[in-house]
Amino acid sequence: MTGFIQTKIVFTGCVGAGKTTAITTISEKAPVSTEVKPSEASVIKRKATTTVAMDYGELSLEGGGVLYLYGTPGQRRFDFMSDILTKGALGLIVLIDNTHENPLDEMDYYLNLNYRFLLKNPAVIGITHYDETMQPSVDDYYSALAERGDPWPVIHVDARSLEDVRLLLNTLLAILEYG
Amino acid sequence: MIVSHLTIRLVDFSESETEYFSAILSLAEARLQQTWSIVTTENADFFVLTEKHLKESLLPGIPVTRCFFYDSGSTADNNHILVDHTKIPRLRSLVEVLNKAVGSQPPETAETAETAETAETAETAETAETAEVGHIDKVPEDVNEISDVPPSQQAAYIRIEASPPATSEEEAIGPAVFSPEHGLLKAVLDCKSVPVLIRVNDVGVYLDPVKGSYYCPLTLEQLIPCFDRDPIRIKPITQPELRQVVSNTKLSPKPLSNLIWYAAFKASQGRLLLGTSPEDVVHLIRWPDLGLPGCGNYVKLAAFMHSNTVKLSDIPSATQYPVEAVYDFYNACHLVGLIEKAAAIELHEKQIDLEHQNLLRKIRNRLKF
Repeated sequence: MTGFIQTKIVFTGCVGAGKTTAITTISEKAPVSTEVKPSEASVIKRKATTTVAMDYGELSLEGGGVLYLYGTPGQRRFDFMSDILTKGALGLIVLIDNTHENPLDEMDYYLNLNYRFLLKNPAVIGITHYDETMQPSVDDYYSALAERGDPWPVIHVDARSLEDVRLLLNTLLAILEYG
Repeated sequence: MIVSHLTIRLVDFSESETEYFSAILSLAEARLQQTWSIVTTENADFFVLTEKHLKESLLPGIPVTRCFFYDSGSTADNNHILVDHTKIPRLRSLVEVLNKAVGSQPPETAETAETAETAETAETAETAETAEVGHIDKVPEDVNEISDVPPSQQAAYIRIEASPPATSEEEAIGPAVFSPEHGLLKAVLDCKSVPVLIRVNDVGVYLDPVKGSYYCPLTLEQLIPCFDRDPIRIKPITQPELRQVVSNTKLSPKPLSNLIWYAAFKASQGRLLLGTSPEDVVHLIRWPDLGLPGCGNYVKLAAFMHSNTVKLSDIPSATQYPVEAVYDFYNACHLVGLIEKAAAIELHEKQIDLEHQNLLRKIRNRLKF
């Protein structure tokens, strides 16, 4: 990470985890979203529409800079987008829907998918829908991360809450500074 | 005076009794606020003796203020049990007693103690014990003291010296160290084995220590007044009773560790946890729940402590957090088992260029509004 012209943060994670919502919550401009009816059977069950290319939002910074916020598509057939979107990013927010059938497997999947990026860049795990079910618990996520040898923080969040999305981003910044 | 290592000598213990004691001490290690080791030398920080020594004033070279006594003949159950009649210590008791001993009576060094040894009599110890029991007597009658020791085995108990009277300075500004000795926080820390209902005034909290959950209709912020308020009433309940309550009230389980973390965080008030020295080298082994009220303000501190193994006293200057805030955060993390003490400092300083620093600052500023 040299030069620091990179000013984007990427939100990734499973379908329905709240990537589009999180970006909409924090973005100061109406975010660009490429939502269409899903085609994958597993996604149809979970959502009426889903992102096919990417979500995009932004936050203007003092001095004219811009922090770009990208959200990856949830459908697996668009996984190739992750590599493209994470190129030059400051870090990754991995959102996991806790009501998913196998949320720990989902986390594992997205960490593996972004393995190369995470060798040099940090991630924060955001658990959504935690108010609907506390199983697996935050402890379970930490155990799964420990097995992988990953040090990332786990935070249960509501993607509709500005405060919660700020917390995710602030935590990522803290790791960039001290982690 | 804060020390990090204390010695204890078992007087008149046989080899097997000593082995038992040593084994239990090892088990208790994780919850002890100081490192304790058993020694056979004449001098030690504390001593465990039979009550015959107390009655007969057989304390050659040992100040009574540094002795634990047990009485195999007593049936009192309000005292902390350290060892039973077979001289086997009780795990829970050992943790309470040893932590309490350090908190109420920082040991003199062996040399000082010997010099200062005076004609403290058994009567002095008895008076001190009464003061301790007096505290317990304030608890309402319907309190059921939780114990993991069956009543049939509660014949032996330890006498604990009462806390020394507060100095005028302490009275003015409060104690300099944080010791979770009161209210809901103490109750929660003490309950380890069976479900209980804890009542502080009109507030009821159901605890399921085995599952690591608690049930309460109030938010953590609403529970603040209960964290260090006495008296508390603790009533053991069965798992079926707890299930019935949960079913009737529709209460959802909440992580017990969150209650402990937040209670310790609020009750610390800038004081360092008893048994911890600012010179201790510490490491945050796992992130706390950053979604807890107020915890989000400590992400930088958490990130620093998670990435580095450092002296507590070095953290404020490295992170720009006030020392009081560092202590509050440390105490809370320590009490939920997120802190590891280490022997050596390990710094992983990030080399961040100015441009990068500016960028992070700008993003952080932008996120403030």
